[in-house]
Amino acid sequence: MNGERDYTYLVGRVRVLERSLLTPRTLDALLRAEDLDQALRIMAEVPYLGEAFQGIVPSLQNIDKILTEHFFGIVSDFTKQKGGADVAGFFLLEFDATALKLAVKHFMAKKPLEKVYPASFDMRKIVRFFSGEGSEYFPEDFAQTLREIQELLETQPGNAQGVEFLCDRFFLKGTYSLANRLGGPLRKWCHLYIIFAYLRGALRARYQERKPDTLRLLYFDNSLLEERELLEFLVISDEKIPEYLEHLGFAFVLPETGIFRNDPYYLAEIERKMDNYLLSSLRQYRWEAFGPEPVFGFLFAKSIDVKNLRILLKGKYFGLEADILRKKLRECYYE
Amino acid sequence: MLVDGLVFALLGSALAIGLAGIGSAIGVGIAGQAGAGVMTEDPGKFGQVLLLQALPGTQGIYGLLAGFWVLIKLGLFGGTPASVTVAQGMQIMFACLPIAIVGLLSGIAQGKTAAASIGLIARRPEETGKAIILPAMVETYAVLSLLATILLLNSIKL
Amino acid sequence: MRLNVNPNRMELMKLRNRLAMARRGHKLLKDKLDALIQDFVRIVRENANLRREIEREIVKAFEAQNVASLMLSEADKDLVTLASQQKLLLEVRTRYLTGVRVPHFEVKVEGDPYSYGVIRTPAELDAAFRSFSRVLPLMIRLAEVEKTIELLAVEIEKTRRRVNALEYVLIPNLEETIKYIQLKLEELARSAITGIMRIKGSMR
Repeated sequence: MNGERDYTYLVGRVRVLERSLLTPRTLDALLRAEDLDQALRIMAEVPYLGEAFQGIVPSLQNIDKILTEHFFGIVSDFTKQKGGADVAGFFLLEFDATALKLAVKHFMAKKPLEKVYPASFDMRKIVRFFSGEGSEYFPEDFAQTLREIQELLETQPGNAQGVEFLCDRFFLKGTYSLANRLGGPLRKWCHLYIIFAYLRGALRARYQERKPDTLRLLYFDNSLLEERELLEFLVISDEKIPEYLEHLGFAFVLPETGIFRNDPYYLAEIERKMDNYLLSSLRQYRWEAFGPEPVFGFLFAKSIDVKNLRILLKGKYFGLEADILRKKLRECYYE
Repeated sequence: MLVDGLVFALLGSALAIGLAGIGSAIGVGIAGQAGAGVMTEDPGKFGQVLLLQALPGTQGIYGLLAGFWVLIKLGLFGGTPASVTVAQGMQIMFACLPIAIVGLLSGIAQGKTAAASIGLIARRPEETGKAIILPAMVETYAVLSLLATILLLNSIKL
Repeated sequence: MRLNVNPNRMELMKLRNRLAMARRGHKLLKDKLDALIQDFVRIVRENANLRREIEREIVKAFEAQNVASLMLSEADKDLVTLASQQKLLLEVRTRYLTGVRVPHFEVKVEGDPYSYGVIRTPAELDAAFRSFSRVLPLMIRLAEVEKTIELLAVEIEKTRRRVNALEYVLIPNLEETIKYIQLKLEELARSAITGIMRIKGSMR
């Protein structure tokens, strides 16, 4: 009883902010827009998001900056509120994992950190850690990831993908422990997210002809999927994949029943299907007045919106056809 | 000294005021949190939010009313206190329980409904009227319990 | 045009030698020209094939890249392009093609292009990177072929000019001069005979 009331304040905020979420109507209007200018004019009318789009110089950087800042602003603000640390934690973790990767890769490429990327920590600390300057304090799980990356770079310098796998593992591990803190339906959702991440990660690694040793870097010990089950993806043939997914209980992620194609466009379809499934499993909680679910649902819907807007606005910028864009769009939270 | 009876009677009065008050406080608190959330993003909603937040506050008032009713009945406001037997004192205490218990629970329930309604007006400002009716329905049971308490009190002969 | 030489037997012999040499040279150059043209045609054909192949692959690459970049934020884009784990070793050598020095690039690709995570990047990225990494060696080969074509063309031009110079200027000139010297010598011989005959007659 008490726990779910922690989120009352956030739910109140979410109720207002939900008006900034895209509806299929807005998406359609954006798809029909003739050019970027028209699309931006449509965007300027969306409540709570539109002001940022008013009178901007229509460049890719500006559009991306608005979208990222809008989402990161909400997430980092929510984390500071009562009950928000866990609900928004998942999304902050996503930003942090990306920032960690960027910091390590800047160090690997011997490039100075020039841009500021959204994160909850100071990225320069990471670069300093790897250059061996001074001893910084990091939380335990973070420090462990850093040590693992350091070890990897000692044995295989230049293994950029290995570094990313380790960072992704940090993210998935964080999600796993977050799932236990959140409990309830969100625990299940986080678990589903982790399994989906592993499935698509394994299928992509398969396409890239990765060795089991590389994919193993992505795996952490969990009760959802065994390492053996994950690595199995690398050895079985294309025809066996649908059967194997069926065996794991996730055949529904295939866009065409029982058919698997080792083709990036097909894999992208799977990724889209996963996003839609994850969003739809949150949809049933959107009208709840209490508990973390509506807040989490809103944040995830927002992250999907950011994805959709990126597709649409960049697509209009490049002048891509509406049909191509439509095929990439994710579903909306509200019909 | 017939203090024994008075103790029970006063306990009843205190329960009515206290529990109903707690219920209202929690209810108003919940609605207030939701309202604060809404107003963080949309300060223009202050009027409607305040109205909805005040709704769970009535249980406390009902409790206070019931409590005073007991005190008046006991003649503790001026004059000589009525003499109350243990049995009468317990009767008064039990008579107070409806508003005490219902006030506590309905206050919380109304607070939650009010919070949900605040969410509703945040998304659909045009539905403010309907949004106020929903938590007001909870009020019915608080009123009924107050009625029950008063009727019960009146039926006790001192 | 007749060469400006003294019409004597000595010159005639020299000129005859030169003519023989010129004829031989002409034949050799003509053979070289044929060989060059043969190479040229072969390489132009290869160039066309390469271009077609590159065009096909690059269209695929850009299509995939377009779609993939739709879903990448600026941070993701930096992430994908920042630290590549692919190494490209390019060795530049020269070789001779029918006597023409042409460049030869030796490409060695180490590692693979997928230097990014697989969980939060769009799958089309793989298609784009695979196509681009296929196109790159082809592009280098194309550069080699195009330079070769250019060098061959220059050489063909030069050889043809020489062949023409031999065929239409030097050889006819030599022939004409030889003929002229022969005529001149015959005339000299004839005038010598008539001189002798006249002397003979006056002696009678």
